[in-house]
Amino acid sequence: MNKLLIEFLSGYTATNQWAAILPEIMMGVLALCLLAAEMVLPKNRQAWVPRLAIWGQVLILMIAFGFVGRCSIGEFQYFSGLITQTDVTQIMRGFFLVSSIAVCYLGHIYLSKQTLPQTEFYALVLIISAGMMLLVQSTHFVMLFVALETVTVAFYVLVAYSRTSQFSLEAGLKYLILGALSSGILLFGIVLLYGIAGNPELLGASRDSLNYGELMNFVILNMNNMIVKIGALLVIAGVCFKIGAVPFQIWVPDVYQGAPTPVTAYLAVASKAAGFIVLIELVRGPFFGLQDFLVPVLSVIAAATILFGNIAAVAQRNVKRLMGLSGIAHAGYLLLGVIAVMRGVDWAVYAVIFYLVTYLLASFAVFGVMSIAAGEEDANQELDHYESFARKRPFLGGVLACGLGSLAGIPPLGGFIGKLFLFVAAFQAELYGLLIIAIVGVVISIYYYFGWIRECYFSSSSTAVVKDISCGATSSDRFLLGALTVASIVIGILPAALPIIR
Amino acid sequence: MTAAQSLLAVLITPLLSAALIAFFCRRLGTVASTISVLAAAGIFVFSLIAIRGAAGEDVSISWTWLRLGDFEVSMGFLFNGVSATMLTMVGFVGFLIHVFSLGYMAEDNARARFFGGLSIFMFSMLGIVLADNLIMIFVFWELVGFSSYMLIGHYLNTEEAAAASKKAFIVNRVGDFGFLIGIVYAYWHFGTTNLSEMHGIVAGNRELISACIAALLMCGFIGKSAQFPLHVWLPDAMAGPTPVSALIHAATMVAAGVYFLIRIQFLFPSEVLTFIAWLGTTVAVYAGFCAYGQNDIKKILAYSTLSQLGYMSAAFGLGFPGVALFHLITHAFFKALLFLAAGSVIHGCHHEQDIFKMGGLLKKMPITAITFLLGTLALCGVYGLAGFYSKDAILIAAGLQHSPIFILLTLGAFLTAGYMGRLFWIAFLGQPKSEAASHAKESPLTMLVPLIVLAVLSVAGGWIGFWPEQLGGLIRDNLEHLHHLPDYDTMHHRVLILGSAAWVLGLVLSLFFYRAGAKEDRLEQQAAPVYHFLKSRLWFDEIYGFYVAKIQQRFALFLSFIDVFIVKGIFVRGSAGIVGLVGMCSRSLHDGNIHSYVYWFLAGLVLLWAVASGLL
Amino acid sequence: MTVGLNAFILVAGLLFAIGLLGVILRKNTLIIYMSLELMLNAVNLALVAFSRYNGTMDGNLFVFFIITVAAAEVALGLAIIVALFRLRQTVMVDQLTALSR
Repeated sequence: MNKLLIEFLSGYTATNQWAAILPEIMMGVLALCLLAAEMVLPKNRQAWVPRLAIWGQVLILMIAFGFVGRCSIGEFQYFSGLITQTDVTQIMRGFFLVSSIAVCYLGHIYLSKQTLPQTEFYALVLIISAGMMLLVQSTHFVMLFVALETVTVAFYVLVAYSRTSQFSLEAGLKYLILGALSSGILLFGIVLLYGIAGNPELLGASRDSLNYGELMNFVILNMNNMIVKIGALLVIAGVCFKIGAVPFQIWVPDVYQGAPTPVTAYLAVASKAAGFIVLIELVRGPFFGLQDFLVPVLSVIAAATILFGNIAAVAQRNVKRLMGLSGIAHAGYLLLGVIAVMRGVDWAVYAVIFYLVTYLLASFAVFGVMSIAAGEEDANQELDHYESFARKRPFLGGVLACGLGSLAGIPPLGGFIGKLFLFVAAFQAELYGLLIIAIVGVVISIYYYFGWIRECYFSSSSTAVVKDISCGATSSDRFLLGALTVASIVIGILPAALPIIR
Repeated sequence: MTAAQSLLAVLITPLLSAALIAFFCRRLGTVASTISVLAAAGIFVFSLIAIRGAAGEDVSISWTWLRLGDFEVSMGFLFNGVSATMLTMVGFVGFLIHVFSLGYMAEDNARARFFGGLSIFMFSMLGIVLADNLIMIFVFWELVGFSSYMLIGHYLNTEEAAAASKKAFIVNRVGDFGFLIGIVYAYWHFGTTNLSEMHGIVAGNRELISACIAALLMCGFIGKSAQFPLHVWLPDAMAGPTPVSALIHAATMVAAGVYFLIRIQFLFPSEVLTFIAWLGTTVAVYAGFCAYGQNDIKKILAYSTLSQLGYMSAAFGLGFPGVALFHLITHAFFKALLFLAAGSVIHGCHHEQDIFKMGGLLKKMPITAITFLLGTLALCGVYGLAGFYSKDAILIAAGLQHSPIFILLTLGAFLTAGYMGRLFWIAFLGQPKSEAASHAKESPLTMLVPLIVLAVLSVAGGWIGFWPEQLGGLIRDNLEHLHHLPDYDTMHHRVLILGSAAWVLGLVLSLFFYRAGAKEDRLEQQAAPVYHFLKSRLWFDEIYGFYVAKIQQRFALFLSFIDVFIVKGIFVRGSAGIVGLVGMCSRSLHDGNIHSYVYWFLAGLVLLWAVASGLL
Repeated sequence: MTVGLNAFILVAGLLFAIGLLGVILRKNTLIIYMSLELMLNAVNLALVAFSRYNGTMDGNLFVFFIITVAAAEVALGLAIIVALFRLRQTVMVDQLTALSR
């Protein structure tokens, strides 16, 4: 009996290779170490906590990249199909690590201006990063949900991190309620899919119906089933909430404005990236059979997202909301890539990742400058704040201009190539209408991005009170921002420098 | 050094120089100018090495610039006889103009910016010369436009320069818009934008040639080479420093349009060619008339450039790209000479540009005057000089194929001799007519040496038999082809007689009519209506003024509307109403109330379902 | 009499709808929060029912995860609401509109 049980269990645990998720485990351990370190370290040595967080992650990044080197192309399933590692997930590991390192750094800048607890911030950032790494690897809805909620719950805390600011708390509350609502809807969709795919009376019913692969086979056989459609739509809606696509974008500006600037950057870059990879995995996996049903839906979403984000951003004066609204527009361009993937242009996955990388570089440069330029209450960063910014801080102004230029897609910056790839993918997928909308969107976006740059370089009004920008950039700030900017330019001139292209 | 390496060196040298100047020598004018001139010399040397290395063979190398899935863009060089010829010309003339600028710009405060701009210009121009695909050409095309914009606007404090640079920029964008669409269309049509691959495709199947693609790509040429109806920017561009006018607006950049046509000549069906021939002929004659109404020495030369570009496109349109290239090269020699000599005159006369305020310069500045005269004679097509051979070939080609074009082009030759005669007689003979002219002094050696070298080339540049083996292959082929056409000999004699008559008549009549060193325009005094008719550029310009102000300006505005600029007009600058509306919409959306957000969320869900189930 | 799957699903759907209506209609954030929990419980009920009728264990297992996550969310949500109440002296949604435009 015992022997039988052991055999039975070992069948399940055979694929439990913990080494496969070593980076995630190390991130978790590092997060715990930080909490421990805060207790152990004396008061005057607390500055070691952020250093430990950043350098620890750099170390993990190096170890994880060792993995990328070994684990080349191919699919590897672990934990009975809970997670699957591919080249995409490996790239995204690096992506999330880089972004959490950057967020830790920005968090350091931010926290040094506030009287808030420090350590928890870094610990949460690390846990979110680990959660997102698992999120993109998951090929099972339980895994997806748990990883997603790990990320989301930690984000609720981070958004509301500034306990003394009503903006931050309100943003936290809004994110919490809308996030919980979207989780509920996502769950409901999952449950419907689970229930219908497990129904033994239907063709292709599976006993493991939360697994992507099994579900995919079932959906292909039952693609006209109403419950399947509703379930899929609810799941897509839940994911669209995370990426901030219209009509689920409504939380974005408020939350982006209220959250501490580093958290805004994290939400904008990493959370969105994770959402997109999940979306791609869903449409390539379980919802593969629902193409005819989902392509029009996503096309409408993409068009609406691009137009809404750009048009709403034009009249916006608060730069954090501006970044939020323009981030919606970027989600729209990325959706183009997702739709291209659905239409059979496989390499569009890499176009999406490429775009995400350029978006990471440019966004962190911009958010970095914003963190440095922020005053006491960092929710209220108006465009006027940046009047003749470049004259006072030429370096930061240059970084900001490059970052915004890349976001706008101006050659020779990375953002241009990113957009080029996405648009070519869309072109090959014959999405001509969407392409035109996207190009119109880009044209509009150039206006508001350049409005910001113009504010920095050629501010017209002399009557305005010259606001003192409290904090200049230290040499390490310069190093980080300079590195991000240089990377943007290098990728723009030599896209092959980014080794994700296959 | 292999040919490929030296080609790379050709391209990198000016870029390096520009970078050095931009980063380290922004305030060190002398160092910057030295670097730039050395770079120009380096370009010329490297291009000679490349030509030697290529040994008459085509060199084509390419690197994958970006690749994702089956989408691939390559960057590379296609180095053949045509590009070798062009490269030598650009390298050599460019170098001479750099040297000339040393003297001309010696007292300018912003020398570093000027020489940095020249280096960027050389980089982008060479990029166009070497590029092996349309996308790369377009990238460098835009860079050329940018550097031209920068250099035209060099004299920041004059309003004219600012307006001219803006005009040049916007007008060029109009042409580039068509060019860009043409590239996309070509990529869609052929699946590639590589020149050799496209050539292979259309050579395999002539039916694949699309008039639409050719016409769209031609838009780029029209903008850059200042052909009708986008020619308006070139005369205004004379607001830039004179060496810039010589380099960009006479010898190289405006010729880049013609060069581009020659590179892609296999894409052109006969109807587009005929159109180009007529376009060129029209511009040749039209600009010839316009030149009579100008008093500014540079503007006269600008119109002459327009007219000569018209000759080149006529030759191209008649099916003789080699002849067009021939004229391009000889024109580069004598027009660069004329502009530089004009620059020397302007320098000597303390920035006086009105020919009626000069006079007597032959005695004051003998070398400048003599070189200018040689340039003039070459331009007029005097027997044995550079311009004679190329213009002759164009006229013969026209005469053998198309009599109306032949008649018009011969008229153009007569006009050319007339306005050049007018310019020379008035500015260089007689007595000085202003304070500045009477104190004119011969220019320094750095300016004279380039003049002398170019003068030699203006005399000897057309002796195609003496050209090095590797250069001008296409030109020889085309001339050979021309020689074997029926009736060549009779036509040759006719052209010889008519052409010579044209320049003799033009020069003599202008001398008798205007008188050497005249103080005032005699045409203006004696036949004021005619003069004003010409000054207003032949009523063409009346129509044209209307066209520019009322139609083209709006057309340009419309395109820039599509481009970028008017977004601000609509959303922020233009109408406050729409700002309010957009703001109001976004405000009412984001009212901060969680309830309305939840409503949105659910409404969105319902909407999605409606879309998904086909209700919407 | 055995109760069919449809009955369970109907109840679960009703609970979900009640939760949704609560989120939409109530003005007190605490009650909105409770409604959200109700929606999660509706999902739990459906999962258990499907699990029972389909004869697979995954759904039962999933419920534990959902309960855990819900517990974490509640803890967090209450903390945020309390902190906000301290600053603003209100938890009514129509007054929490400092972030808008």
